[in-house]
Amino acid sequence: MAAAAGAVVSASENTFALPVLPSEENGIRWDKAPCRFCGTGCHVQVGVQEGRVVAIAGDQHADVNRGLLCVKGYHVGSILYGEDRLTTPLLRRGAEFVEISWDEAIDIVAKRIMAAPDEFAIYGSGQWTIPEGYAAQKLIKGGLSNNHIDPNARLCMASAVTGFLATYGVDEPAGCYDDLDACTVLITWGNNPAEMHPVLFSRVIDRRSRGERIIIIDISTRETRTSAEADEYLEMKPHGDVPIALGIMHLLIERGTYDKEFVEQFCNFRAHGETPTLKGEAISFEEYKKRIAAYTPERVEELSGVPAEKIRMLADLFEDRDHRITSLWCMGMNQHTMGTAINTLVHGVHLLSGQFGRPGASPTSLTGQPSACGTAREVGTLSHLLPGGRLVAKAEHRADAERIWNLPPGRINPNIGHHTLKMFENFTTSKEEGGDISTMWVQVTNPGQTLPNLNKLFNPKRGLKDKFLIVSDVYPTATTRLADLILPAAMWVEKNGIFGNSERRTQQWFRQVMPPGDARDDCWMTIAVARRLFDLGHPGMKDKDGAFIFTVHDDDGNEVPIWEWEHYYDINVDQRLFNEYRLFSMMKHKHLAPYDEYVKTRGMRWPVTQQEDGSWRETRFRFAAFDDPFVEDGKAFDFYHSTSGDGRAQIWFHEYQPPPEMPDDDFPFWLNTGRVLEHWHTGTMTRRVSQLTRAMPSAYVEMHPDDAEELDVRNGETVIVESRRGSAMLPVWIAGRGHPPRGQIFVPFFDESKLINDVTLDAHDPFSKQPDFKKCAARVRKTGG
Amino acid sequence: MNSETPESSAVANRSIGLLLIVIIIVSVIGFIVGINQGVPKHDGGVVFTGGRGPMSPDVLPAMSYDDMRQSEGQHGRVYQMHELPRQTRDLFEVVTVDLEARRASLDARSERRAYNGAPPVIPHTVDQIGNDSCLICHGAGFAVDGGVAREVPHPYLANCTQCHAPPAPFPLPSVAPVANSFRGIAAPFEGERAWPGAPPTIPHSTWMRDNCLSCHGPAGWLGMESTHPWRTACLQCHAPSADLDQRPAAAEFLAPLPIAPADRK
Repeated sequence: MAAAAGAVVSASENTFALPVLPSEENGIRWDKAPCRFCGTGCHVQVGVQEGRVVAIAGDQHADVNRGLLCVKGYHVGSILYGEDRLTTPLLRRGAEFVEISWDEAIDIVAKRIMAAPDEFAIYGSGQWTIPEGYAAQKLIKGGLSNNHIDPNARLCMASAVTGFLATYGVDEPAGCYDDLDACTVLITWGNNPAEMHPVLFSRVIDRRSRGERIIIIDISTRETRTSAEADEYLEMKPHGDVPIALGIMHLLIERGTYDKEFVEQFCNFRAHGETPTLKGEAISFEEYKKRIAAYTPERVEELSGVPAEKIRMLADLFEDRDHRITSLWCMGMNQHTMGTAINTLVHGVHLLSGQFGRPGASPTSLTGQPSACGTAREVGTLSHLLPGGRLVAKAEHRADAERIWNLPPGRINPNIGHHTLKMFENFTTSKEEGGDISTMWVQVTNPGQTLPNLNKLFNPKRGLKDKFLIVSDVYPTATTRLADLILPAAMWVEKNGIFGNSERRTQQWFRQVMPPGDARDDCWMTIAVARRLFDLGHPGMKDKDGAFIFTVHDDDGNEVPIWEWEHYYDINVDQRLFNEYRLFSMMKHKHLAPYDEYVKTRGMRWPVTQQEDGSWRETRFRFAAFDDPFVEDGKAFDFYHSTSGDGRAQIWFHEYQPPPEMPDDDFPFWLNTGRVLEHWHTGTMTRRVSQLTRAMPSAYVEMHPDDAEELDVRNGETVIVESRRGSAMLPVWIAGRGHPPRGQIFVPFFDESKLINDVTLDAHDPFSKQPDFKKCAARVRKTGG
Repeated sequence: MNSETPESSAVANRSIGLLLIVIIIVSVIGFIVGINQGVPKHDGGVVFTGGRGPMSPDVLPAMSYDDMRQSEGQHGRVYQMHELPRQTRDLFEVVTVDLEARRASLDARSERRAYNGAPPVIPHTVDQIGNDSCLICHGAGFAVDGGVAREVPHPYLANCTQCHAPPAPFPLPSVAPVANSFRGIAAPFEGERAWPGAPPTIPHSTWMRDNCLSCHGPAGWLGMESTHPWRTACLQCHAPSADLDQRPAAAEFLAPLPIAPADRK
């Protein structure tokens, strides 16, 4: 592996100093922060006057959004000021909560953990800042020798991770948003970026306003705002994406128009052996060709519902070397019982056609949360991971983490912890029946609304004694309903933070206003609990030299008691934790720069390497020699974490499998769930913004007009949507925001008063353990009948 | 432009007269500003009310032609399908700026914005899919029956509802504003002037406001209209703020001249 790229890139090309901020005019202080919502990672300018956020502006110096935001981003300042902010720790007493002090609250948490450290679990989030996730990770894996930590990202992008690992041997996209400026074809796979990643979608369609021609192909199960901009809307059946990808690859091979040169030099072929594994087994090109031959355009039409001629049209695009094709996907491919498989197949289409590694040619998976990449994937806050892509199951990776954390050898438990679904199943099952989690601490997320099949995975907690739910949050939520202890949290610019967005960009911000009342940083809560455990004598809270695991020093070398809130901001804890975490980033070549470098920029995309002149250089295109400093000299491409150990990426074959539950006579509709532009995830923040609730006040069920007529249901009428697992009451919206085909209904999940996850299914992908929220069988009933 | 035609000299004469009037008006405004000491703040901040339901009364509810035919007389409004008279506007007509009207305009603007600079919410129902219908009225600006569809002030961005939130669509209930104590910054009442009569500086960001006339033109907001609409190079006289426009704000100078202290002469 080459040490570093030869030529020094001028700092101004890939990084840039902060030219403006912070600045003041008219008594308003402006400073940068990444937006609080999705994984796009737009930068906003936050205007603060007299200690309160009073205005927001799109940051014109941010590469990601170039001054533009979406309707949520423009109103992100209002999310701090909902009048029901949680401001005091609350302890359950029967049906009510009583206010308690922070000291009591920290004591309760520490004593619950102390009583049964192995039965403790942390359920975290892709909205955790990097230091927050890192601290929780260190507390539980490095301190408690317990691996029961998992983030909500399990519900969100776990299949993208397994897709990247199975294909390239290392997680996260090779390309970046620059591809959106260069592509000539954009394919959205079960994806609606016009609403979910609008700033990125505008980056493409605004090019059309400037006179450029970009072909947009929307492959989707329902017509959306993205379809409205598309040249071709290809309506597929649920799970139709799998045969479509196979069909394109079959045609490229049959016609001999695949990129032979690229494939022969840089790719291998792969399929599952008798026992399916994430790595799979090598197969020959001939074998690959034989297996995929069954996926003729006609067979694909039968399986996917997309006409054979359109499959040929897609193959025509992929074999045209003049095109630069970017694929985008998010929940459609990830929330899928063949999630890992379809992720690898779309990578495969790009590899086979050589639509890879040139600006504009890229398979790019998007994330839904602001730090799903930064905190969940890179910090590795999943039950089987250690920071920086290390595996709990690998002895040398554990030893490496113990070395960096200065822990005694053997401290880290070699058994992987429970993934999200298992964690909640065990929390909501009594101890006698095998439920081995008794205390759960939920931080920065709302599983009482987002878990699938809530009547199985969340609601049964209500009847169980000796299950203790701790929830750190900013507002009352569907999760705090069942909480035993509620910890009021600081949010967004009420604290220092670092996020990592969808394009590997690490973004830092400073606290700009104070949190309300007694609300405090999640990271402080974790460290305060660790310290209380230390005081109670838990041996895991000491490193091998007997020092507290979260010891930090000021610039004069004095230890700072950051577990005391009044001293938490005496130093920059984020900077200390990030610079420690940074040491983990090199093994998988996801090099991060020191904290202070991120202060100066609107984020940098890893790997960030130091150049001969001392400046720091980000990487836009991984594995490609022209930009990635880790590509071996003389190679055009180098997949340096290849699972086959030969620097090659894997082109996978998978057989189509039908969805786990299909509509039948009793439950004749496909139920699909998702988001809308105005609300972010469970709406706990956006539903407290008047401009956004005004636009989207309530969840609804979208249905085809003919289905509505057949059911004798009118536009706006409230109906019951039910499955074998539960039901929800929702108003019908015909010819609304999205247009589903006959036999399909769609319900957004943002509305806590209409929980569609009472209805969804908990079937999941075998590798990623990510559930399928996008398809199950349901029926619609009139309320009277 | 060397040879002066009779037309252009007539225009010039009229312009001089107008200029004098403008100077008088500007002086009066300047005097009032002087009394108010600098840039007056427009009340205590913006509070989004939206309290009048999804549609404000000066907005035409979208309905089908069929409904229109039957709705005559309903909502206190009669739909008359006739061609609007083409207005030819005299650009040199004297414009008197009505400061009370400006105050009312600022109030009306603030009702649709979370803070000054926020994209306004949409006061009427919209197509839930696609953007073409927005541009029919807002592309070139459009006035009808007392309502004004202002021209898009920024270059054409293709995804209107990305930033501008519509009211609740018909089948969903409209809701009262939620309890939220966010108070946005108010719009400035006017720019600063170096002296009474000097052209005011631009008191707001010019980002996404490329077309000044969208708000300050003949179909703009009452009380904010330009007194000299024949001039279209706005930035020639009215200076924007580098700070508000997110450009480098701190002016840098060379080191002061090394003048020796008097005792070393």
